[in-house]
Amino acid sequence: MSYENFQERWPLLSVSCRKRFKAVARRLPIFCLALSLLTTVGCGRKEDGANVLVMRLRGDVSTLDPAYIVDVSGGTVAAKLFSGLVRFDEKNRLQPDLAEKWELSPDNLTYLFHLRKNARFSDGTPCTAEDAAYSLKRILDPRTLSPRRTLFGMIAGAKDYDPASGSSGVGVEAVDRHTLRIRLTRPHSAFLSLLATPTGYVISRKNVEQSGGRLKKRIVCTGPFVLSEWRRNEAIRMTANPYYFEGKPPLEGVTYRIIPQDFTAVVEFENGGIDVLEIPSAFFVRFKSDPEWKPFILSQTGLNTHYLGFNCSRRPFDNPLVRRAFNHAINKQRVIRTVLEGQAVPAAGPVPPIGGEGSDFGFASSDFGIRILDSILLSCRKILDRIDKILQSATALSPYDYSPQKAVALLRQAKFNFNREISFFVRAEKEAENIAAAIEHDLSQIGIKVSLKKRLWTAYKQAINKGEPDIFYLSWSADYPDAQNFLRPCFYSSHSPSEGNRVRFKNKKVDQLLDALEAASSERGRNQLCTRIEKLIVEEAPWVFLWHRREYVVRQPWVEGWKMYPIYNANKLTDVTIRRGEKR
Amino acid sequence: MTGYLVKRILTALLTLLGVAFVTFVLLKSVPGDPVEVIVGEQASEETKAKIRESLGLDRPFFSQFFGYISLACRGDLGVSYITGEPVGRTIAQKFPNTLILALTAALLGVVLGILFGVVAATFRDSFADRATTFVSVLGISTPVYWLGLLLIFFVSYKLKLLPASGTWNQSLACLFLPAIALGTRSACYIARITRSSMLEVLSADYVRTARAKGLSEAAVVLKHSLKNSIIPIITIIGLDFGSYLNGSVLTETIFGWDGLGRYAMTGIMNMDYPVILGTVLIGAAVFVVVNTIVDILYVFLNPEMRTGENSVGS
Repeated sequence: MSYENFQERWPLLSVSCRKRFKAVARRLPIFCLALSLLTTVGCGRKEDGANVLVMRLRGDVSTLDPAYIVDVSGGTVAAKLFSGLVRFDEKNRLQPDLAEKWELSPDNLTYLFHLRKNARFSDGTPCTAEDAAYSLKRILDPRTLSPRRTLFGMIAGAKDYDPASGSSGVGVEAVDRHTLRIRLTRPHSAFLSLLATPTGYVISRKNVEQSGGRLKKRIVCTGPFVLSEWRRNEAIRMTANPYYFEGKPPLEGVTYRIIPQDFTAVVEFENGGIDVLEIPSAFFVRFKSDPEWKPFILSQTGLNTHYLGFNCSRRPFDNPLVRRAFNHAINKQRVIRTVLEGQAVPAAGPVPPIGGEGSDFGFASSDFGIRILDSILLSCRKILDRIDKILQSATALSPYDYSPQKAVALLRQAKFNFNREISFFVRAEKEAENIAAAIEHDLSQIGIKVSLKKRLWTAYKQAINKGEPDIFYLSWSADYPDAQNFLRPCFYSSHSPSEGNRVRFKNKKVDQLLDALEAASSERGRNQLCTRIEKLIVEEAPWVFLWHRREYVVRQPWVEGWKMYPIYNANKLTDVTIRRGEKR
Repeated sequence: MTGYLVKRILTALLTLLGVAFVTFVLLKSVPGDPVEVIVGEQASEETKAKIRESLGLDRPFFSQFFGYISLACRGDLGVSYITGEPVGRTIAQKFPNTLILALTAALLGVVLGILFGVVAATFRDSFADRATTFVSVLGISTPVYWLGLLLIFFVSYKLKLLPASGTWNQSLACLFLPAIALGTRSACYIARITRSSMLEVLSADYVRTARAKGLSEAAVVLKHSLKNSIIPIITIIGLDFGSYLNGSVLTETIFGWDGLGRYAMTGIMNMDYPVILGTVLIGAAVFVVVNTIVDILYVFLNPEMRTGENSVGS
C-alpha cells in the first residue's frame, strides 16, 4: 500500500499517531531493559544454596518408604536418607553401616549385628536394635503389603509370620539395646547383600506410627541427609543431617530436580542449573567430543546384561543347537559401534564384570605433572584390566564369536525349518527398535525369516510372561552386586517368567549348582560354582548374550569427590564437596 | 436464559457420565495390570491379590464403575495407586499452575493474534498482510514440541536469558518460554481467523455507512468491524483456552512444568486409574464450562442470538 493510500485510510493516525509512535520508539529501549530486569533479576529462580548439590531425576519417585520401594530412582534417593545395617562401597565390597560389626555362627545360620552406639535418628532419638528388628518385621508382616516381603523369606519363621493371627515367632530379635540377632532357616550366602538393599533400611517405629503406617513426606531417618521438601513432579530437597553417625556431611544439602525431557536437562546442566548429570545416551557423542566437558565425564560398566531371549519351552528354541546358532549369527560389535555409539561392552555370558571400576573418562586435573601421572596410572590400570579380562576369559568363558557360517552349519545340524517365520517381540521405543532392526538384518543374512512385533512396555512384558514371542530383546539389572543375582532369578527352573526366568529355561544340573551356590559359605567355593554355572549356561545358550551397557556421568568442574558406584543405592554423597565461590 | 442454563447443565452432566464410562471401558481394555506397576513383578501372588482387593480391582466392572461415580458425585475422585495421595487434592494443587500457563498463553495468543489479524485485514495485500499470513502459516505448521526445543536452544542455551525448566512458583521467568511455545500456535490461528472475519465485515454495507458518516478509520475498524467479526474469534479462543486448561502434555513435559497435563501423563504411564479418570473428568468438565461461557458470550455479543433472528443484514 502506498503512503497516499495509508493517509487516505488512516487520516488521523498519519498525523497525530506518528508523534505517538516516535514517543513509544524513544521509550522502547527503556521498556526492553525493564523486561530483561524483570526476567533476570526480579523473577530470579529460588536458587538452591551454593553448597547444595543439584542432580536430575527423569520422573518423580513413587515412594520413599523402604518397605514399598521397587524402582531404581526411589532406591537412589532413599539411600541419602536412610541407613541399613550394611552397605556397599564403590568396589562392591560390603561395609559396616549402622552395624559397626557382625558375627556369623559356625553353622552359618545366625547373624549377630552390633549396632553403633552413636547412631541417632534425625529427630535426635537414638537408633536401637529394637528399631532394626521392627524394620525387618514390618517388611515380613502381611498387613504391611510390602512387595518385597519374599526377599527375606530365608529368615526363620518369615513365611508364617502374621502377628494379626497370633503367629509372631520370627528369627529377628533385639538381644539388647545395640545387638540384633537374625536366625535363618538355611544358610544363605547373599543374605548380607540383601540387607544392603533399600528394603533393609532401618526406620523409626514412632515415625511410622505417626504417619499412619506408611512413610510419606515427614520422614525421620538415620542417613546423611534429611528430607526437607518434596514437591511432586518438581523437586526433592534434602538438608544435611546433624545427627548422622559419621558426622554432618560436607554438603549443606542435595536437590533432585525432576526434568523429564533429556534435552532440557542437558541445557540446564550446561547453564549450571544441575551439578551432576547422567548423560542421556542420545547426547553421549556430543559430550564426549566436547573438549570443555570431556575431562569431567566419568564412566563404568553397569551391572546389567542385555540379551535376546528365546522361548526355550517350545520348538525350535527347545534345541540348544538352534540357540547356539543364533549366538553366532548376531554381530554384537557392529550393533555396539553403530546403534549404541560405543556405549556398551560385548557380553561373554550372563554375568557382567562385578568389582567396581568407576573411572574418569578424561583428566580433570589442570596441573600438567599430575595429568601425566594420572595418564600413566590410567594406562597401567587399563593394561592390568585387559590382562585380568584375558585371564578371566581363558579360565571362565569362551564367548560366541560372530560367524554366520557356524550359525548355518548348526542350524542345518538341528534340521531348522528356514521357511518358518520367527516372531520377534520388541519394546516400542526408538533405541530398542533400532537394535531389533540390526538383529533382524543379521538373521536375514543367514536366511532366517523374522516377523517384528512392537509392543508398549506393559503389553510387551505381559506378552513375554504369557510366552507369546519366539524371541525377544530385554535386559536384566542387578539389585545387589553378586553373580547369584543374575544366575538364580533368570535360570532357576521353578522361577516363573515374572520372577526373571523369562525364557522358561529348565536344567536340573544348573538348578543343583544354584542351590549349592546359595548355601556356599566360602568366597572361593562361591566363585568356582559361579564359573561352573556360567559355563553351563553359555553352553546351553538360553540367551544370546549381547552386551553390558556402560553408564556415563558428567559433573561440573566445581564438584569434587564424585565417585561412580556400580550399585544404585551405594552412593551416600558423603565424600562430595563443592568448591566455594565457583558454582555458577 | 434460566431455561437455557438448566438445559446446558443437564447436557454437561450427561456428557461427563458418558466420558467417565468410555474412559472406564478403555482403561479396562488396555493390556497390563496396575497392581504389577505398583508392586513390581516380583511381589508374591498373595500380596498382589491383597492389593487388588484393597483397591477394589477384583470387583465386577459395573460395581467398580458405579462405585467410582457415586464417590465422584460426592467430590471424592479417589486416591492415587502410586503416591497414595487424594487425586482431587492433587488436581487442586496443580490446577493453578496450569491456569497461569493457560492464561498467559491465551493472553499472548489473543493480543498478538487480534493485533496482527486486524493489521493484515486493514492493510490487505500489503507487506504487513503477506508477512502476517506467512508467519501465521509457519506458526500453525510448527509442532509445539519442536518450537519448545527451539526456544530452549536459542533463548535458554545460546542467549542464556530464561531458564529451560521449572514452574512459575520457582521463578516467574520460568513462565515465559512455555507460554510462548503454547501461545504462538494460538496467536497464529487467531490472526488468520481475525483477518478473514474482518475482511468479510469490512465489505459490509454498515461499514460503508459508518465511513460515509465521516467516522475515523480507527473507529470504523475497532468499533464497528472488529466487534462484529468477534464471534468466530471467540470460538477459537474458547476452544484453545479449554485445551490449555486441560494441561498441555508436550509443553509441560518439555519445560518441566508441574501441571495437569504432566500429572495425567504420569497417571497413564503408571496405569494409575484414579489419576487418569480424575484428570479426564476434570478436563471434560473444564471444556464443558468454557464452552458454556463461550455460548453465553455469543448471546451477549450478538443481539440477534438473543432475539432468535438468524440472518445478518436482512
